[in-house]
Amino acid sequence: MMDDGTLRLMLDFANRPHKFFFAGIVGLFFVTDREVLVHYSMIEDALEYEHFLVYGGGHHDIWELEYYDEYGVDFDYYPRGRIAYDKESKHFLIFGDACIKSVMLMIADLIERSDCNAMVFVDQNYVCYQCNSNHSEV
Amino acid sequence: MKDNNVQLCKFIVLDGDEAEGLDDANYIYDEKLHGYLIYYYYTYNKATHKPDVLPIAHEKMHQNLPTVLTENTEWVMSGRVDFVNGRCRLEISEYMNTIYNQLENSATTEQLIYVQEILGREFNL
Repeated sequence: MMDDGTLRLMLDFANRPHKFFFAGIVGLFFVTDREVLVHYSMIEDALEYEHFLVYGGGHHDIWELEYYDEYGVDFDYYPRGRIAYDKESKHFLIFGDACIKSVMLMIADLIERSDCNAMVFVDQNYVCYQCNSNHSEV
Repeated sequence: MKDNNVQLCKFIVLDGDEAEGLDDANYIYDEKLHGYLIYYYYTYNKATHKPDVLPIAHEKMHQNLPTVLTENTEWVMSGRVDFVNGRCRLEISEYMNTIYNQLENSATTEQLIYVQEILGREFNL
């Protein structure tokens, strides 16, 4: 049984004293213009794909259920990404939209501060409204 | 200006047997791929740096497909043909590459190369 958790973080979450450490979780996230929305499960509750641990939820379904009424835009309006874990290399893998690379690097930094390894990947599967509208300049 | 236009796409690959009764140019079943290659085309204007329509998310492409197709296939690859530094460039989801390519019955290196071949012909990569 997957034990889901949710978090709403300020955009400058990495500089907050009571920050949430991302090490030990897999999940997905959205970066809106005012906060970072994280849905996660602990890696011991994650789905296993070969030597990877991944979060079972999907961006569309979670956005529709949790945030559509509040934000009034489709799930792909804001940039988004995922956190997975590679058991073989013992790295957390952070995938996401090119325009939120700084946020992904902050997540990676927090993970590494917990003595874990992390890698960041800009992923073409995640392209937000702004990047879609003018993607050549991203 | 017609000369400024270049055709781009977003695409997904669904691994699985051909679904019966589907007859739509948007769902291309390929025996060698053992699955469907689904394109979403749009035109990109090199002068204005804008697409003619907003490319939809891969998830929406998947949701818009007939249920008979999505229920019997596994989504194994997604990516786009983009226009970067003056030329078309194929970009494939790192998440799919990294994780789903490890799965049995999912995208293989051969499939990936074959998709590159198809898209290369279509889009002058």
